[in-house]
Amino acid sequence: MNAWRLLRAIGEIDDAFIEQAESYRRRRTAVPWLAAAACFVLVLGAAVWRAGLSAPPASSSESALGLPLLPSAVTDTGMGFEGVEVRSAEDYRPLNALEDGQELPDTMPVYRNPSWLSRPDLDAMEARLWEVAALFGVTEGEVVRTDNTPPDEELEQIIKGIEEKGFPVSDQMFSGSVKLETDGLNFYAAKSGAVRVTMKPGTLTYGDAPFAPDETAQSLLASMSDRLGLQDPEAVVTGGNVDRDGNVNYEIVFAERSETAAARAEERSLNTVGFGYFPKEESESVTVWYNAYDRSEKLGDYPIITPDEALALLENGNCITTVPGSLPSADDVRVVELVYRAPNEEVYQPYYRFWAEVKPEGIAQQEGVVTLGAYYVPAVESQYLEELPVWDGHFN
Amino acid sequence: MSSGQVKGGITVEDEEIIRLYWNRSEDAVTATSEKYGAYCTAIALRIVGLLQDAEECVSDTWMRAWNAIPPERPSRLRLWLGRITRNLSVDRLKGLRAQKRGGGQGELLLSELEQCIPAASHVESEADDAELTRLLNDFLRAQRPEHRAAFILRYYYAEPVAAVAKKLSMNENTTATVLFRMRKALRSYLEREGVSV
Repeated sequence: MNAWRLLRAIGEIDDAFIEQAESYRRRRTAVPWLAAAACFVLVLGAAVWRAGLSAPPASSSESALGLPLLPSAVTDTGMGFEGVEVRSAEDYRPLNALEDGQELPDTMPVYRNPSWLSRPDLDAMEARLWEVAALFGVTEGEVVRTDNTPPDEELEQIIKGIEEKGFPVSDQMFSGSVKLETDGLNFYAAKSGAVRVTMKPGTLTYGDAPFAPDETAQSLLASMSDRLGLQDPEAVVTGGNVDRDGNVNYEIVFAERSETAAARAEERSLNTVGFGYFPKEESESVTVWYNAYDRSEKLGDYPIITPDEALALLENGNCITTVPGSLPSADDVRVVELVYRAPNEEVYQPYYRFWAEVKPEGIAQQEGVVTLGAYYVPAVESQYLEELPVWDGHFN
Repeated sequence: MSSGQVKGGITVEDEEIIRLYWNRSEDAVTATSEKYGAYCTAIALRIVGLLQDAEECVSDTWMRAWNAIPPERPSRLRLWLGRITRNLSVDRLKGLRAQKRGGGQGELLLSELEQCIPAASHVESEADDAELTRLLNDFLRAQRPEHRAAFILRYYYAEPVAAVAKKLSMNENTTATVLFRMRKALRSYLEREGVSV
């Protein structure tokens, strides 16, 4: 026991912390670290939309290895919380689960999200739309291009107002779309790089989904293989949420087949074709999402921490979550995954996603189900992050 | 005296002061004292609580600077000097305490920091100074910037809680609560790391 030693040791902490403390000015917001992040991305976004120049690196500050420091993660999840209600924790089907003792690489790639806080690039969106349309044999038609982002001057005023209030600037302010409607097939390209295709149910062969998801996945793969735009697709069935009618719902995702957990994280998060809804009536339409996010601007290969280290951070509260209530303990964690979060982030970086058994505050639970809540911990070593996320009990 | 122009992270004036040290000119000490005397004295006074002792800590700081530059060439002279003053003041507080003198924030800081010391049952090994600093840096890095700033203003700069609250535009009670939680969190962190302080 020695408070003296501690008082003396505090005298040797990093200069950077001391400088930050001296100049720190509190922003008027319920989530100060979010505001700080927003402030940073605002500058970046402003540079991109105004000048139309090639985008600057994600951060002006660099870490010891010369890798740009990664900006704080921004949660842009809207209302509600990310969780599933399953009959038992074992019933949850993860996107990319890690097994005990699974080998992981020392580093993983991180990419800048070029569309973040910038005007929609309608040309790039249209090009992507035609790529997907070609998979369905559609090569001509009249596209409708819409930029819903306010004019520059107005936008500047709006952002200034948001900044003054200390709130984060949302990427959703910079929206736009490119649409193409043909007989029986509709295409919609979003700013993020995703393209949605809506079609009549008869176009696809799907089995008795959602009750037989694996069979459905295989029949979809057979009927869709040449329309996925993937070299060697594999089907992944994820989810297992029990709805209020007692049905179990899954999402079927196709991604490039990958041999390692790290490669799977990337392919299953950043380049997928997804089916999320299976119509019961012939009159209803089927929606397929082509989510190929732009990975052309790689920031570098970043050293990553182990799942155990990530778990310690989770227990310390260094996580991103939308689950209300107190943080779970390690004993509550049922599944660990390695994923990227796209497109609602300034950079595409890997995360450990922990699914923990929770009892969310203020939310009535169904009989006979358990709730799993999602908690994200950055996989990149904290020295390469501008800030570690800090859970503060905030709920949307 | 103006604060000088910023040029590559070092103010022009600081560059000039450092040049004086390198030339072994006694004007270096005068210039340092003019520019940073008030800053360093405030730190020392907060910690030791007695003006005469604080002034001695500051004089010792100038002496340390004279002996260290050259060969050193601090890139942030103000922080570099402040750190010397701060640490000399903590050392002096120890002496004053033995003599039952002093009455600054230092006493309060010590009693508050007692709450961060891990219980003996959690201790596996004694951390050396470098290890302890590394642990503190890791702990601080994981904190919200606002909380980290409060911790540093209080335990590095020995600012009274009311002054910390004012600087961070926070309510005083909230600031006290933040500091209390951080002390608790630091204790848990050190316990988890299994080190003695």
